[in-house]
Amino acid sequence: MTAVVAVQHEPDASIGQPRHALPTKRWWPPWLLLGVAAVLFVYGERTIPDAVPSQFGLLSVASPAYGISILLVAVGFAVAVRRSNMRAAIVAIALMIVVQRLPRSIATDLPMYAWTYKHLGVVDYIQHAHILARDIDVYNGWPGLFALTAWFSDLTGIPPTSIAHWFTPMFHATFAILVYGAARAWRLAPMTAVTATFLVSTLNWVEQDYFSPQAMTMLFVAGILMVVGLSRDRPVGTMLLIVLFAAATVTHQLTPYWVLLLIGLLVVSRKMKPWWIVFPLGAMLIGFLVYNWDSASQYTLFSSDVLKNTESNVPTVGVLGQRLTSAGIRAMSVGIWATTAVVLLVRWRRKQEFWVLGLLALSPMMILGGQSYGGEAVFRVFLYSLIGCCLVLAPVVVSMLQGGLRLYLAGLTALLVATALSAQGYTGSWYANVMPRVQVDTAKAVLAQAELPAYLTAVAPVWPERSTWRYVDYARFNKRFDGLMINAANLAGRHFDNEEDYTQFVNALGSRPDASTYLIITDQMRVYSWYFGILPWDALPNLKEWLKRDTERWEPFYDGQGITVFLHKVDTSTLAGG
Amino acid sequence: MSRQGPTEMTLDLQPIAKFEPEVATWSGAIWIGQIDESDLAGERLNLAGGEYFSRARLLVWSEDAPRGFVEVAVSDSAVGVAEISAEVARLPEVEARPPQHYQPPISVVVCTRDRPDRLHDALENLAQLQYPHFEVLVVDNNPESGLTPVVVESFAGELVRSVDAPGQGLSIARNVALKNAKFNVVAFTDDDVLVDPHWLTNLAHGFGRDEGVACVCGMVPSAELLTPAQSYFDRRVGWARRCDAAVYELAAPPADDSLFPLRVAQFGTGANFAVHKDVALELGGFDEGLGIGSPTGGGEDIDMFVRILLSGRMLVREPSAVVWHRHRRTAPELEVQIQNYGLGLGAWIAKLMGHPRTLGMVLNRLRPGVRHLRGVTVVDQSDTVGTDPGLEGLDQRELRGVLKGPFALLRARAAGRKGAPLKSTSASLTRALDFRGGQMWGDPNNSVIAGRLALTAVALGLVGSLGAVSTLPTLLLALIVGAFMLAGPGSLALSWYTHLPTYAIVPLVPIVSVAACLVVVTGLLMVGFYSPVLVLLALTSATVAGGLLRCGYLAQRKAVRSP
Repeated sequence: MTAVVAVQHEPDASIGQPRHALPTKRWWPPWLLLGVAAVLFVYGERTIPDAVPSQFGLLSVASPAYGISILLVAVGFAVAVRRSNMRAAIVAIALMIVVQRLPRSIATDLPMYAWTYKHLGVVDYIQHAHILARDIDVYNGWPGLFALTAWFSDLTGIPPTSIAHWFTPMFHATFAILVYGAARAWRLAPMTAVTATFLVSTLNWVEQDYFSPQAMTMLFVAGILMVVGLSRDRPVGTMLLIVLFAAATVTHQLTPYWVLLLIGLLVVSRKMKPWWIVFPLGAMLIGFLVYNWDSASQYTLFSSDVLKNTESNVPTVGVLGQRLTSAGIRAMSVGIWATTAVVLLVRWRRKQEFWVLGLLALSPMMILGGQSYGGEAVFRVFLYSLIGCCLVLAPVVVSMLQGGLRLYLAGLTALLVATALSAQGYTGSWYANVMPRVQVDTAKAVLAQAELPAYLTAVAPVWPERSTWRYVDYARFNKRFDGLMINAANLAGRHFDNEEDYTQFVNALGSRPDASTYLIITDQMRVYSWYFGILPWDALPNLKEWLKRDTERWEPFYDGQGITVFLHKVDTSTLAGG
Repeated sequence: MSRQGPTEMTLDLQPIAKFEPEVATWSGAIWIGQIDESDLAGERLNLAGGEYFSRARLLVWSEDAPRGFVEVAVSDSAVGVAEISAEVARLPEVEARPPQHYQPPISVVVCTRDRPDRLHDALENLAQLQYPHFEVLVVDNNPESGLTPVVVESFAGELVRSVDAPGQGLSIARNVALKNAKFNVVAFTDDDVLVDPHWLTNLAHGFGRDEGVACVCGMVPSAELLTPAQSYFDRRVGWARRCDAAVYELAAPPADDSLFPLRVAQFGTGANFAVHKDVALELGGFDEGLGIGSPTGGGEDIDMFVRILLSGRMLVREPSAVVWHRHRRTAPELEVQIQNYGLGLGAWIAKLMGHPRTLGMVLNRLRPGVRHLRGVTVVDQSDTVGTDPGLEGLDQRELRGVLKGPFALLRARAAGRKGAPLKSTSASLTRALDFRGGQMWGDPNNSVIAGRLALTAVALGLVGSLGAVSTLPTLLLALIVGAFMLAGPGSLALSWYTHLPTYAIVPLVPIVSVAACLVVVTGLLMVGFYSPVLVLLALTSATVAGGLLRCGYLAQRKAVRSP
């Protein structure tokens, strides 16, 4: 029904022009709601650092004021749209970015996610060596973000870690501005474009907003989509498009392929001009792939197994909290895609424009037909489809919020449910991914102090490996110098409460006779592995006990503040002599 | 000078503005007319259409000069002469005007935008002006609609002609008029007024008072008071509160006015004033960021008055030059107008505060200024709000507008609306880069935004190059390099794409800028070159050079187009 409502309200000139000019004499309700939300956020955010970790995520343990502030912003936005109060709606977007994204910077010691530090290691290497280590990893092949960060950091003296720490809120603020421009370019009326922007800012649960090439590339993509939206009838900003696409090409391996696919489909269906644009873009992309062929050829370029491609990179079954969070975001994501499809269907039935919006919203699904992207493809699909889906859904949301009371209540409820699920999805794994400062400092110290050659191996995920330029030296010795021990020994799910588990663990060392192994165990790994079902809660303490007792094989290297490092020493001089 | 028909036992007075009887249903409506005091004879004066009114307001003339307004009761469509005479006796005597016959040729300017009916009435009215040498210049502020030329053609001849001002805004229309006026005295009026037949004679009289007079403002009384909204506006604006002439000069401030020269309401208003064209052009014309049609909605007239005074010229208030104004009849129309007044006033105050000389003036007059502002915005509404609740809270709306004014001015400036758009540059280098030339904001294919973006790129390139000075504080370096990285190359690139809508240009500047920096830094790194300072200097130099070339190209293109 909602889709029908949306298309009925759509004028010819632009999509989703609001029809109901509601009385605006009482201007204060949205502002009051947003003001209360801001106050609750200020109070609630202060409780985040001291909250007791829980498997149900941040929202369950921080002050309820924090969670309520997120929902209140959504209510404030709904009321603003109902009253056609554009300014309040814009402020609601800004406030939603503050309440959802700012805690990543102000309530944490350092950037979240262990894999952020792999990116920072590349930046550090560029700053140290002034060249790229193209023989080492894929990051050096697509170094756009890392090169720019190193350049900016060297010029200004701002540490890359600080840039990464503030990247998330800055990403969302910039993304929102770009998405609004893109929405307008795709012919949405101003209030509908604001609504699309709010949806994108609110429902981006997928945690692809940290200091990463894909996040940076999404900013370029939003700019490209803006130019593409303006170029549907006549060529507009072709050179701008080329510059933006070039930046995306040198920054991320996957995203430009989707963009080229989208542009190609639009060109073929005569919905974009100039038609020849696919050739320079394609040449750029292929040229860069050839340039990086050595590293790209190590990955499976195409995989037609769609089901396998949809699998997440976390194959295990997590704890109850993780499963509930996961179920919630899956339901929300499927709901968004399904509603988008229904709206597009109604538009098609009513002979309204559906093809270009459909391509924009659903073409990312085609990635699943060709790539698993290391188990991350499904996340990328949501990320890529988010702008398109929100552009399709925004007129529906506006129509509902500005419609009769029942429609309004239904729209508000849907918005609140989606907001709550997205917020839970975004913060559910907070305690698995938060990165204590001591852990990063220790990782850097181990990299600096360990004697080359060596394996610097974490038992389980979530160690900030490769966080300094030194990682290149280790990787040159062995590209898998920091491969997870449980992967090497295929020990996921073990309790390490019996000798067999430990023996199997030790046997894995047999594959590393050529250098010493620094084995790292942290409390954070315990939380992460337990949360995602990789290891039981007692596994790592048990393993630590085995290692302590096995003094013949292991000597303590570091112990303190939840981090323990053992050293299995191999006399490399003997090896060299032999 | 008789202002009515022949005298008998009773005299029929005509209202200033014809009205439809069905409009005059409000009990507080006032009949408006005028009379020369020499015509006050007999017992009663019949008022044409007076049966719909209980009160009448008359502007009483004493020969060529207005003596003041009287308000009397109406009974049986007439007013008592005795009562009027008693009221007139309370008015101050009019000083005898020195005889003078200064009658320069005048260009009368009517700026209009899609109001053909009003324009028709206004032109019909202007055709009755009693003045030896004048032209009427109609400025069409929306040529695309095609509504105005039809009306102008029906009056076409030597007297009336029209010019187009495509850029939206009254200031832009006024500036087009300044550039196209035949004569050095340019008199501005609106399309919703009724001018007195002796209007130009009396404006010229004002100019004749002194050689240093550059601006003359006439009086703008209400032409009709039929609705609560018109009554509210009549009380609010006070465009006809004073009937005494005055000569203002910065060197000789009035002893009894601590706000001078910022008490602008006593000078006059945009519906009725005249300027010397050469002075207005020398000052750079009207501020494009002010005036109706711009984001600020008003204030261009008072801005010009004060700029003329600040330039050392004289401004004359000449109440005998009368233009009757038809105020908005409904509350919603008035609400927009009042909000615009507030916006315009706030923007103008912000503009004053942006210049050291006028900032001092504002700060010195802050307390009386705030008191004055509060005083003029509060209107006695005891007899209007009950009839029309839409008028409630208008004073608050106006004050809110004042607070929003500075932001509106900022928006206007960001959009490329210039404070002194007609100012010509003298230095050859500046001329070579003067991308604007004589272009108006909003002219088709104008290069205002392109030039501003290119200049922004130049400025950010120059600032960004300071990022090479590593001894500067980290925060400053971050701001310098960050500003360049976020807007330098992007501004330059987007200067070729000003045909894109604003909603696209604004976000594309930073993302294109970052993309350009990223591609250059990455590309050089890929070929083995990494030297942050050298790369920065190369990028900033290229941006500065590109910006200068672009400005030069735009200036040259402009020069070629309009030699």
